[in-house]
Amino acid sequence: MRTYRQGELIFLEIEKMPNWVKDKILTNKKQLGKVIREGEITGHKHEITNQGAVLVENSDNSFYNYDDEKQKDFKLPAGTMFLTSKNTIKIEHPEHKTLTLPKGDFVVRIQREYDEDRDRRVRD
Amino acid sequence: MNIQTSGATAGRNLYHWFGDKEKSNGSVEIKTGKTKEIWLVKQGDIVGYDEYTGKSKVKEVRYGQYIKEWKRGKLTREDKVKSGTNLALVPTYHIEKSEIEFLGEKATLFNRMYGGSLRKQTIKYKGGKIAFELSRYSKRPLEIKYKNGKIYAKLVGEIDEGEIISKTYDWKGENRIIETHNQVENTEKDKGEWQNIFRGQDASLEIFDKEGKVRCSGKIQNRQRVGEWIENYEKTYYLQGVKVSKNIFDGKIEPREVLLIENAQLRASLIGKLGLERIVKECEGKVIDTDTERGYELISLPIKARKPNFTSEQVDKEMRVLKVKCPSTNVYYCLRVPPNMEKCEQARQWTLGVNQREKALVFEQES
Repeated sequence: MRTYRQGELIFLEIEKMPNWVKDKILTNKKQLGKVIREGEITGHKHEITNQGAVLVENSDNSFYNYDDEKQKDFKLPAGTMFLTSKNTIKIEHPEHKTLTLPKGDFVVRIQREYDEDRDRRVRD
Repeated sequence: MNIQTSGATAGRNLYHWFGDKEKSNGSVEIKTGKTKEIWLVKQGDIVGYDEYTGKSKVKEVRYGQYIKEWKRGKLTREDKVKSGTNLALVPTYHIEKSEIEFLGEKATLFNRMYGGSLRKQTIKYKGGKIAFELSRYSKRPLEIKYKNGKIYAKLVGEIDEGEIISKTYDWKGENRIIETHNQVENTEKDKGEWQNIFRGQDASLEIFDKEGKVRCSGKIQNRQRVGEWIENYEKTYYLQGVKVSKNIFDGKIEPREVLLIENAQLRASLIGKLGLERIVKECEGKVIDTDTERGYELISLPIKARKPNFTSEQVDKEMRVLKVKCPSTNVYYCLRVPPNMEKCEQARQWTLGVNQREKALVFEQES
């Protein structure tokens, strides 16, 4: 499983997109635009700049396991995003070098910071 | 379309919310796993339902009439409606009236019940003027008025009508708004109850006296008071639901003092205000581990631990921070990591979502 990073975003390649994500892509539900994440403080965006990539968010308040046996322990918190494309994916950000992902399916994870009450995601 | 129900027995509360379409007559089928429910609607009211497990009927409810239950094809329960008991299935739509006192005036409370649940509450003063009207699911700001027509309260946000209307059938005692208001007024007993009026993320409220002056106002986020408030005519300040002095609210606090704050949420909020980098720089923490190749440092800083709520609870007595350098920008920044981190790489992997005993992430490309 290849992994890539741009700032606080981590892209983990997955072997098989869960069926429920495919359904959402096919029905255009939960599709997001080109901005993967926008900095809370700076307003800087991690943005997909070429055509063909689709970003989908699991916004249900539950954990999902992949339906693939090999990855079934990979639990996903609410808000997890998936990225898929049949071509390479270019992601740009004003402060980071452009990240080029190969074609395929990815889970997008956000770098976390410790909070005594709960883990929280890194603020950009 | 969804149907929500709560409670149990024949007196269960029932919301029948059919989304954009209201079903006036006929039936609605809901399947959940092996269970199927067929809800019967007549002239806009739900009159009952049949429940099936597989192909077998297991329950039949007709509101206001009876409940029947079957187990393995055998009738195991048949209860008819008796007035004055739990099984009294009230008519689907009715109004309950109570004579009450509201904001010091005699008034009548009207609870409009629909299918066993409260749908709308109205309080009218003697003489006919309305104090307020609150409908379930209403998203409009709620205005509550004195008898003279002047506004007593403005509540903006998703109001949890279950909190406002404390009881449904035997309404007694003070309306929750007044109860909460009194708690706020009496600062000794102030437990920050106002946020319980709301559910959802953002809300705001204003409470006026009879002369129209603001007595209490402020914003609520995540059920916590935030920002500047007015309480009993005086300005107060809140960070993450904790009342603080104006100086602290403005960030005029020494980094060392931040580490002495017991409340973890408040401390985190102030660290955010001052910046972790400044705290690390000015507080001279102890370096636990270094990664000279990448310029990382794992630093420990002592913090004031709060008292644990129970004997087995572990509370943090130190703060561990990973100082990292961004490969793109060459800027150093700090990330707080769990206090059990011992090595820079371990801490870094933790921030990338890798937990203990999981495989470390190795990147094809990083920027």
